[in-house]
Amino acid sequence: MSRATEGKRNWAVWALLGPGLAFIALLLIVPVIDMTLISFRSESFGQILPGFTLANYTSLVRDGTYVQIFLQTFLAAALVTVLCILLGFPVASLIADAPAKWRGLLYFLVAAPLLVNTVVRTYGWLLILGRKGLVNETLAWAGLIEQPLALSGNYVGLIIGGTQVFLPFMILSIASSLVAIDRRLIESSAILGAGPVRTFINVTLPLAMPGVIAGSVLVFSLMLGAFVTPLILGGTAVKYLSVAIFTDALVLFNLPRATALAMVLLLVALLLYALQKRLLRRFEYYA
Amino acid sequence: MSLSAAKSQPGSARMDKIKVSARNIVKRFGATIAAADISLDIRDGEFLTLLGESGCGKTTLMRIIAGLEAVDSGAILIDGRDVTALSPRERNLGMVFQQYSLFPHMSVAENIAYGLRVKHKGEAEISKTVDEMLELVRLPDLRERRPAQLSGGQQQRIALARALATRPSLLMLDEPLGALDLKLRRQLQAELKRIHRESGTTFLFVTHDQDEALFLSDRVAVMRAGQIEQLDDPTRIYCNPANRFVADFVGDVTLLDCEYDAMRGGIALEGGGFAPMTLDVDRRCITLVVRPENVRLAPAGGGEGLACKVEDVAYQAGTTLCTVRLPSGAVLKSRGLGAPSPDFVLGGEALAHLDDCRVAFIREGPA
Ligand SMILES: Nc1ncnc2c1ncn2[C@@H]1O[C@H](COP(=O)(O)OP(=O)(O)OP(=O)(O)O)[C@@H](O)[C@H]1O
Ligand SMILES: [Mg+2]
Repeated sequence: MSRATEGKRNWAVWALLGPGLAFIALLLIVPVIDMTLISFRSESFGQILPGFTLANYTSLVRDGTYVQIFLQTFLAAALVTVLCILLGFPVASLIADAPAKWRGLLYFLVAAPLLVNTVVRTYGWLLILGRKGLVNETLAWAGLIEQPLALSGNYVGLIIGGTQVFLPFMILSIASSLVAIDRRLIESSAILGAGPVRTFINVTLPLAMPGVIAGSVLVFSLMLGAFVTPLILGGTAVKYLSVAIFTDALVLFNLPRATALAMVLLLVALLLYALQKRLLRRFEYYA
Repeated sequence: MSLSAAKSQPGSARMDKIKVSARNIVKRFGATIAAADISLDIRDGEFLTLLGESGCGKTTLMRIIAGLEAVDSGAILIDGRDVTALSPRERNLGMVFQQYSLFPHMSVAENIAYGLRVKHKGEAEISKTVDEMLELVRLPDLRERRPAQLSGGQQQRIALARALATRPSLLMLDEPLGALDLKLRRQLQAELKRIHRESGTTFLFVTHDQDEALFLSDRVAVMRAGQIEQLDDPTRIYCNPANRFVADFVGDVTLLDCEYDAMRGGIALEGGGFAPMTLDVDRRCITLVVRPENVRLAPAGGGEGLACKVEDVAYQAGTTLCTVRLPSGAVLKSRGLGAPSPDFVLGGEALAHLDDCRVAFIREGPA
């Protein structure tokens, strides 16, 4: 290819990319810069005051409630991630082992809940987990409990709801890794004398790690940023980061502190992304 | 493993023993019959090759022996013991697949050690065996490499080392050289032959390359559509094919339908032509299996022989391959040593002589 046509092609590529890049710049980069700036300002009765300050950030560390919010949020995200791995792996294995012609249907079944709005799904959980919900009514009817169990409006509800909402991401992520494993590796392990457990630990699991890591980062960061589930199922008992940001920004009109909280969330997400890249590189066997 | 194990000669005490026996194996996949009542005895220490076209059931038979595939009926015996109901891990076999069979997340040494670790061998023994195996496949410097850092040929040699490390009763190789280029293939074929000799292990090899099969094997099983058409040593497969299919499948061949005339002491070809020869045959209609090295060309006009017309003369590194056509339309090929003779020119006449002591025949009428 001559230089001239190559130059022309480059030009065409940029022309095609242009609108998209402009959109991203306008809707992502500019707001983030704006947010960053606001997080260093102070306010009074909802009005942003001139001058810069670190107070929004220092208060996050000093103020016990914020430390607690962070801890609760991260713990919830971690718990949900672990539960998603434990519950998702068997389902993913089932999908990967299924004949190829069934796999499409199974993928669809797993992804189907994502088609239902999170608010609706979370309300569904409220109906199941509430004081007069399905679980409590059933247990009471069976005579197993006298008082209804507290399954919603607290940490338990939040974890159950979060796990269900984000499980499909984990399943799909692990399944894509499992499907890629050459069946002959599993068979080789068996012929060499390994039982199913040993084969799983020594062959399947290491080769599925990329999927587990990608799924974990996805679920963890989604759960960190989750809003509807903590609000509905966690209730007032659980102080959740995204709910706190919402309250600060739209109830208390303290935009600087809300943005400072949001910046921390953003930073964590970026760190996770970097960590994922590092971890994944360790599991790149075919490079 | 004793690397100095004596090469087991056919007829030796060891070879008289049956290592693995497949009895009346039947396997269907829906409407396809992958194994139609196959019986096969693999002798201890031999190199047996399954040869056949794509889809004839070679891999399936191997997977059944390995226990990776269940049979519809029939039995597999290893050392006389019925293992049909046992899982692959209980059969102590080795297997090398066409590609991708090394564990990508383990080093070469870990791959080779895997089967030994599973069997709870001591570290010292494991380390010693790994060294021995790397020595056997002549790649002692690659211990710590990852499979992705090896060439295709190296990967297959490590796969071989891993499979041999557990001292399997039978090593199965499913087209292990299929993905390699011709030069590497030739090189690894020689290696395989040496490794078979030095390890003393019984080999069951799969290929659809007839040259490879004839070169490597003690015995070859020619398969077609889930059945074994002939099981014999390479020379007999080549020189005494049991039927049209085997004759046609193995080597460059012309099948000549003819009538044997015991009175005149020769064969009368369909469409005219008579070639004198004495055959030990009890029927009239036979098919001659004529290979290029069985046909000698003489200049036209010089007495007896089958009149024919020269259609092609090709010089091929040391030998000349002449293609001639008989009046009946049948095409014969003749291979002679050295450069093309000036007697045979394109479109010219010639006389073909069939080397009667080496021409094989099939007791089978025209197809
Ligand atoms: N798991 C399976 N499901 C359905 N059909 C199968 C399966 N495995 C093999 N077959 C069919 O059984 C027949 C024999 O297959 P097999 O793989 O044994 O052939 P092969 O001789 O090894 O061929 P190739 O030289 O191409 O590897 C083929 O017709 C194939 O399509
Ligand atoms: Mg095959």
